[in-house]
Amino acid sequence: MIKNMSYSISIKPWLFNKQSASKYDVIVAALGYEKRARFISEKIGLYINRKIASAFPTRKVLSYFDNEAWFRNSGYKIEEVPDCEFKKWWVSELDSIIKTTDKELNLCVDISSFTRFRTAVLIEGILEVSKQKVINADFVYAPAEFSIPSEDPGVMEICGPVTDKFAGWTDYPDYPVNAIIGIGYEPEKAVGVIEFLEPNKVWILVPSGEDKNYDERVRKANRDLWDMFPPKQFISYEVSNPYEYFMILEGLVFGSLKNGRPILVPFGPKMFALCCLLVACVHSPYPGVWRVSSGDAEEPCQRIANGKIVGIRTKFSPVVGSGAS
Amino acid sequence: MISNAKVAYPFESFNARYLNPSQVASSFVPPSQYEQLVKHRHTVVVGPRGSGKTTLLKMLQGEALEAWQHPSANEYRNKINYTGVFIPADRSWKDQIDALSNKKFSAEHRSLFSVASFTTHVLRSFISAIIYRVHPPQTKGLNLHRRVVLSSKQEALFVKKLSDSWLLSSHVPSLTGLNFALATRLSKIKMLSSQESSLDEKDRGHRLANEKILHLSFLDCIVEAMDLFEDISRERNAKWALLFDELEIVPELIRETVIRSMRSVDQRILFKLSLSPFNTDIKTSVDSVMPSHDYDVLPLWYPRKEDSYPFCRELLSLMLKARGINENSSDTIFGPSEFDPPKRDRKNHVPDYSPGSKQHARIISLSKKDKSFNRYLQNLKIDLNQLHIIKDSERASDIRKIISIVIVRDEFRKADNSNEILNVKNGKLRSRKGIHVYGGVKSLFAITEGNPRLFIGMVDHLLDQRQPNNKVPLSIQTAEIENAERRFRAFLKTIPCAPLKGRQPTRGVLTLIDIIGKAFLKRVIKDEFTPEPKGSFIVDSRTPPDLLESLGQALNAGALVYVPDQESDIVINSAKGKRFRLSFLLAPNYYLPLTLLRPIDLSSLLPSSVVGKKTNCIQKSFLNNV
Repeated sequence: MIKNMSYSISIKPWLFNKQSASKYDVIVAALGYEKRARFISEKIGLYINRKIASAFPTRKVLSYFDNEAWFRNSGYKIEEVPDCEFKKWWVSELDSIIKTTDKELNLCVDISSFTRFRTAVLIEGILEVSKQKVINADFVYAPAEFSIPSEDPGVMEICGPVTDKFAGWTDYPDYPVNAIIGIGYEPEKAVGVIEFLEPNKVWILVPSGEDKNYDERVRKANRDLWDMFPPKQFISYEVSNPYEYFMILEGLVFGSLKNGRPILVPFGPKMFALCCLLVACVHSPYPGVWRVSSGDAEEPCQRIANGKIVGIRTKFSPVVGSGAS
Repeated sequence: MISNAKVAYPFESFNARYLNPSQVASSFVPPSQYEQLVKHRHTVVVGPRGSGKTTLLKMLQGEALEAWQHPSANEYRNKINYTGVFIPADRSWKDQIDALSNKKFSAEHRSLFSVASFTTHVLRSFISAIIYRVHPPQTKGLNLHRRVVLSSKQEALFVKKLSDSWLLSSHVPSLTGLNFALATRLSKIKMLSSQESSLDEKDRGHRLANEKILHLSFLDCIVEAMDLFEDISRERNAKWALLFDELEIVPELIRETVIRSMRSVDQRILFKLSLSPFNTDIKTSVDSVMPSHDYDVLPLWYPRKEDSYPFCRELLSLMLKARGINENSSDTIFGPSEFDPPKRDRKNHVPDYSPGSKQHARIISLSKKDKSFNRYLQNLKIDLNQLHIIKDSERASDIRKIISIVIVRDEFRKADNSNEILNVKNGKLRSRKGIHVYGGVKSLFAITEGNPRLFIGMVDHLLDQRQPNNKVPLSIQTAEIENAERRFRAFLKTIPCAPLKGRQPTRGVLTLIDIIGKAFLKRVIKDEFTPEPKGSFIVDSRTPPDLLESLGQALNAGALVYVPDQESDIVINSAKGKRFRLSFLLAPNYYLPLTLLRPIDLSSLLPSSVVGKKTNCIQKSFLNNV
């Protein structure tokens, strides 16, 4: 097994607390078209001095311009960067922030409106910079009210590792692929990716607890899965409890590494995708995290926060003796 | 595919990829191609996804051969006097190898890492094959095949010498220790790549040149190991078959070496490769390196459904036997297929096409609802009550030829409105709900295309649902076919396809398949009756070049079935000029019969906006990315 990690990670539950909000050095949010893009910033951002909103260069529709005005008026530095430049921008941003403090860096990252790709890159950047300094990052997320999703175009423009860093690795290529799939309401996509990956074992994680309509929609969109697999392979999780599903995922991956090659495929809530990425970091470089996406073909759909904020607390520390300063 | 299915039978996992060789052997029925494959010749096994390529290669390994209990197993064990070294590959590992090479690296440096990883994998596979020969399991009932006795001293000597030659530091002087050292090397290659990506580019060439493990040739290493093994075990001129599964996934440099070596390599090595039918670069490489008589090509698909029946029949018998069911009861369990009825309706002793037979009922029923069909019968001057005793052999054959078209039109067309004038050209369709015309044992054979993975998956599930009378009702068969079809369609969405309607993105190759399927539906069902409608296609010169790659991907996925003529190549690097039909698994979705129908130019099936237009920049960019 590879033991060259130059960082260590610890993960803890996170609870919303106005006092702790003031301890953040910086908050990072996505400036997108969903109304919920600024929900967390409205609640937490007020207490933080340094604020960054990362804007998307495309799809400036729905609530985008309202959000832009709000972020601008609330003192956010707005940076519009394309996907291909996002990593470079994020690492240089982090580099410049850590130079301003001698202490550990406390980050609040609102992933509600970030894409899965950008969420992965946010983590990659933190990993890179954490070779120099301890970074405490609270990843927070505003679950949305249920709304009937826009008609799924059914397109799969991207089907593969979310980034190269999260492609995964194995010392035993003859071991079978084991798929850990979080399902969402995208019709048949989970079935499609299972057929594509041809895994030996499959676990299906089913989100629940936010809205009955959502739960029903998820089940309907994935009805074939219930015919394909026995009940023991379905694991239900509460969207509002990320630490719990992080632990479930961690357990599944740990078990799977003994004689398989785990690949995580997170459909469903973005917080679930984040937990998959964190589990991959914990067991780096072995688990892979895939994304199956319609890319820009997906019709933008309004998302309004349901009022809750959920999160998970992480600590990325340099490993002594790894060459980190 | 799903190893943890609900009931444990030997067939429960229908994807051979992750079954161990003994598990593969427990359900292996040798198709006719196996006889060819075992010969002392280089062989390329060609087939779409799920066609059984992996199973065939795995069945050349010692472990599988020893566990195999089929009546012809002994005969094959005697013929196979070489050691099979199975070298698996899959898409997710390919992605991992590709990702290993940082995008900042030059193409040459990227290749170093991927080739070194795959070389290590080949060497591990080789050692695994030796481990089985030297340390086989003590299981009872195995039929010995090419076992070798090595003393622990001989084994330690072999490991020591090989470790030196392969630049390994194996701390345990055993074959298992050697295998572990190779796994560790894969870790090291990954680590080297990570380290290198954070170092300055300036001295990279020099640094990597000094990393000897990145520069080993897999073939040289294998030949060294063979020599050493011969020397130590005193086994003279032993032969080895390197079984490369899914060669298209293998890094290009390794692939080129394999293909080149088929001509010139050490005579003790045989190459058995598996490939998908559509390959742009591999086909060119193979053609350029060696004439076709130097190797055999085995197609693993069946353009004409009847060719798959003997294999399906034997596989089904074995599945029934494994469940303790009379192996000759398949016709009773699933019933007859309407598309492929038994020669006589034995139960009722009603001659085919005579009043009271199913065929007769179909023809009468359609003649009442389909005016164009009625007109066709009138033109032929056919007396519907005398169908079975028509003397004129030509006319009799005409009637038999049309029966599959009659069945689907009768099932899926609504009755023409009696007030409309006779030349109704666009019939209305009935819903598919409640229609069970695709059931029956031979229809299951046809729909699964002789594809063992699909066949085992579907039939195993159906057998679970037998009723107390031991039959599987048509409604259950229909539901199972629909499930399999829906999953297959979901998979087809994951395969990228060139845009078909301007800039509008597609639902993967499913978009293309849907366009073709719906065009056939119109011709076969909705349009005026014709005895031989077009239902397969030839990729003609008006087909947009952007679509050729997508057609190839659809072929590899099994959505299209290649219908080569006698002179055609089996592996193709372009779909142009080739004939294809849709997979029969998709036939129910487009209301098509389970029959190979006459061909038509593909361009005439495509929307006019797609045909003949020039490649635009989006499409060019798509093609570059494929």
